[in-house]
Amino acid sequence: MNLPTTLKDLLASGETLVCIEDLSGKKGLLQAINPLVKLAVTAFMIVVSLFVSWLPYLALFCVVPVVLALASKIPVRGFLSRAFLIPLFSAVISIPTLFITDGAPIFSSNLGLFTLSITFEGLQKFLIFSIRVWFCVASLTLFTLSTGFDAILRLLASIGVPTIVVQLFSLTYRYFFVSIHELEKVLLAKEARTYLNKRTVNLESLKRSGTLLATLFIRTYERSERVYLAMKSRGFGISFAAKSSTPKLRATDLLFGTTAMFIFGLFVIL
Amino acid sequence: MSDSIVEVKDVYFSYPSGVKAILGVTLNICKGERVALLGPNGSGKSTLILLMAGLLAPQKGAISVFGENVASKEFPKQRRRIGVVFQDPDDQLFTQSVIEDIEYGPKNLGLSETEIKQRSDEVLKIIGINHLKDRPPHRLSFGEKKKASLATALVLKPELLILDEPTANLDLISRRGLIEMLNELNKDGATVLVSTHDVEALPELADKVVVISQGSVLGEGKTLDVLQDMKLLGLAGLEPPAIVKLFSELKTAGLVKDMPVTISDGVRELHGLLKKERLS
Repeated sequence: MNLPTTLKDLLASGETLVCIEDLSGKKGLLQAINPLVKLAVTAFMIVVSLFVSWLPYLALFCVVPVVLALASKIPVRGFLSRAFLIPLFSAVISIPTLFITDGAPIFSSNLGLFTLSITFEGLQKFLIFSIRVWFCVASLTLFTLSTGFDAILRLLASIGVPTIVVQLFSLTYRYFFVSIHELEKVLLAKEARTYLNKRTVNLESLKRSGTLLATLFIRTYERSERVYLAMKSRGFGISFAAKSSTPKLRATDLLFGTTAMFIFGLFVIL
Repeated sequence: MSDSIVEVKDVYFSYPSGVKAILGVTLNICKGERVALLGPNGSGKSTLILLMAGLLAPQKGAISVFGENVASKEFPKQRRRIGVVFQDPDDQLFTQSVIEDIEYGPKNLGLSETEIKQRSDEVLKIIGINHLKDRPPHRLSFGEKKKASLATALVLKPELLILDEPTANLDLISRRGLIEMLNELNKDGATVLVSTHDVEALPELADKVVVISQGSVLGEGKTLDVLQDMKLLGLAGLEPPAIVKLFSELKTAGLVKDMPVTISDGVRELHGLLKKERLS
């Protein structure tokens, strides 16, 4: 398909979501754990990482998500690439801490008017911050990769998130795929009647793109009306739907939860 | 009529855009009937179906279903007796998995967990989609989505089942399966109302046909009579089934007296004709 890169990316994101769903369906360690326990352990791990500021410990922390990914049959390369984008950004914005933190200089460079020094304390601060961010993002990525969206929604409902919010998330996720499919159809129809290979951006092409987006919005609006009627025909608005429940806790869930919390708790005590 | 469950009296409906969709429609549907609203695209069939399901309110005239006016505040209580299947299954399936969608209606009805499970299992078995129950809708084929949509309505055990273009975009095997399923439900007492422009499927789908064009009822009658009425179908912008067209030609040529509307009747008729030919 010869589509503009940005749109190709958008269509590819649909494929990515499908791929994530596949991962959550694999028979691995984390997939077998109750989502509630997984969420509690993830939150605990994140909180613990905020209290640990000794670099060797933090370095040890970084191994945990990788080991869990391997045990959960989640491709490590894909997992790491997903978990590196935000930490990379945070690392870039924390670069000034290398220079502005007081301490013993480990590297200095004379730039004429002033001297630029990287201090040991600054480097330590930078590394601690970057590793913490990476660990938090990696833990959450692991949680979402190993838990189906359906299970996440049920979990949100069971922990007291308002039904309307859960329904909004659910509808957004469900119709993301439909909208992508709709967009794909519109683009294909456009592509089928595009005879010139040369792609130039001018007023006319911008107008056409605007019309295309407007068509998509109108279709989306019309569909939302029909979906509302479909929901209404099955009792939406008459009474509240029964609260969804998460799977019951089993011995393995409790074992995983207590072991993980004990090990990470030790880091705080020590 | 005493056993009328749907009564539409001189109903008018226009969309906010100004499009006049329904113009003075009057019709009755009795308990246990299989009725088809037949008309070309844009004739107002889908709007009429939404009105009869109480999902839209008429601007003029009145519609009562199970004796309750659809515009009344009490009508939503009657919805539990009505199952609606929309034309596009992507409109109907709005949750994350087939089973969740099937359970959505019963949960809103306030049924117990045990009954919801029992009903869901039953409907999954009847429709033959047990293997799809945990699949998200975007992972299903069109035919599978159609079946799942039907399941979301059947799980409510509706007394009135309303289907908008049920055979549209279905392959022949799926279409056959769907028609058989609807007929089974009808035998069990459900009243079935479908909107369609599929004249080929009509003889097996409905006993009574209401022909609609440009928001008005052009005529109604038994399926066999309507499908043989070339003038009425022509007025509505529709063509008769291929078998009727064939026998119409044969009748004009003086070769046959009747115009069958189903393949099996046509075969019987041709068989008689060939037999007569051989004897002479």
